[in-house]
Amino acid sequence: MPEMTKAAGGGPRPAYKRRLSNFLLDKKLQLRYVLLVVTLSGLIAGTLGYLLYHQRGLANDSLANQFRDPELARAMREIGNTAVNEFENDDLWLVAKMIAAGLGLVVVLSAYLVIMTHKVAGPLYKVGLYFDKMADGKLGNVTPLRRGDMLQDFYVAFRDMHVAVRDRLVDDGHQMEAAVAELAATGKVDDATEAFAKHLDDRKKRLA
Amino acid sequence: MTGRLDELERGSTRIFWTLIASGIVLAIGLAIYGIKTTHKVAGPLFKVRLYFAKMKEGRFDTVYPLRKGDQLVDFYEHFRSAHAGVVAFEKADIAKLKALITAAEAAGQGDHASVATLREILARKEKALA
Repeated sequence: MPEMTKAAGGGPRPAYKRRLSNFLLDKKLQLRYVLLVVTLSGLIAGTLGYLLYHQRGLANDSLANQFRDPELARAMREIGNTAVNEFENDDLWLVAKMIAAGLGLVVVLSAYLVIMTHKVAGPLYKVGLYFDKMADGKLGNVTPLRRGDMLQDFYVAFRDMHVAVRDRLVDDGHQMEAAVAELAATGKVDDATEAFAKHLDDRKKRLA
Repeated sequence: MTGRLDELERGSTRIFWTLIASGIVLAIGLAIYGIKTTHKVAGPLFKVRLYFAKMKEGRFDTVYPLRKGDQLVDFYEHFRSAHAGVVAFEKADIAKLKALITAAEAAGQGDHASVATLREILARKEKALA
C-alpha cells in the first residue's frame, strides 16, 4: 500500500511518470479479477472452440468419405484427393484461427481489466496517501481526482471530511491562540502560556 | 448417408444448446460472483464513508474492525491509522489545554474570560472523543 511521497530534503517532488507498472497499484486486488475473468473466458472459449472443431471434423470426414466412395473415386479421383487435402488444410487453419482468437481475447480482456481496476485502485491509493499523512497528524490540502477515475463519490466524501476536520482544527487554533494571548497578557502564567504557544506552532506546521 | 446427416444435424443442435446453456451459466455465475465480490469491496467503503460522516461532524469515537472475508483490509487499516492520527491530534490539544487551565487556576486566573474559552474548547474536544 501507499508510502509517503515526500521528497528527500523537502525539495520538489519528481514529476509523475506514467508506466505500465503504475497501473497495478494493488496487485492482489487487480490481478485476482483479471485471473478469474480470463480463466473463465478461456475455459468457455476453449470448450466452444473444441465443439466447433469437432463438428467441423465430422462434416469434413463425412464429405471426404463420399469422395472415397469407390465409384466416385474412379470417376473423380483427382478432384477427390484435392478436396480431402483442402479439408485438412482448412482444419489446420481453423485451429490456428481459434488459437489466435483465444490469445487475442486473453490480451484484450487482461488489458481492459487492468485499466478498469486501475481506475478503482487509483483513487484508493490516493486516499491511502492522505491517510498516511493524517496518521502522522498532518492535514494539508486535498487535491481532486483525475478525470475518468472511479469512486468519485467516495473521494468527495473523503475530501469533505478532511476539509471539515482541518477547518475545525484551524478554527480551534485561532480561538486558543487568542485566548492564550489574553492569558499571557496577565503575566501570571508565563511558563504555561509559552509551552502552549510552542504547541500551537507545532499545530500550525501540521495543518499547513 | 442419412445416418451421417442425422449425426451432423444432432451435432449442430447440441452446439446451439451448449452455446445457450454456456451463456446462461456464464451470465448467472459471473453475476453472482460479481455481486459477492463487489459487496466485499463496497462493504468496507460504505463503512469508511459512515466514519467520514461522523468525523465531518466532529465525532471521533471508536473504529471497529471489518467483518471476516471483507476485502480492502489494508486500505481499512490505513483509515484506522488516519483516524487514530486525528484522535492523537485532539488528545494532544486536550492534554495541553488541561495543563494550561490547571496552571491558570493555580495562578489565581481561573475566572479569567480566556480560561472560560479554553474550558469550552476542552469540553468540546473531550466530547468529540467520547
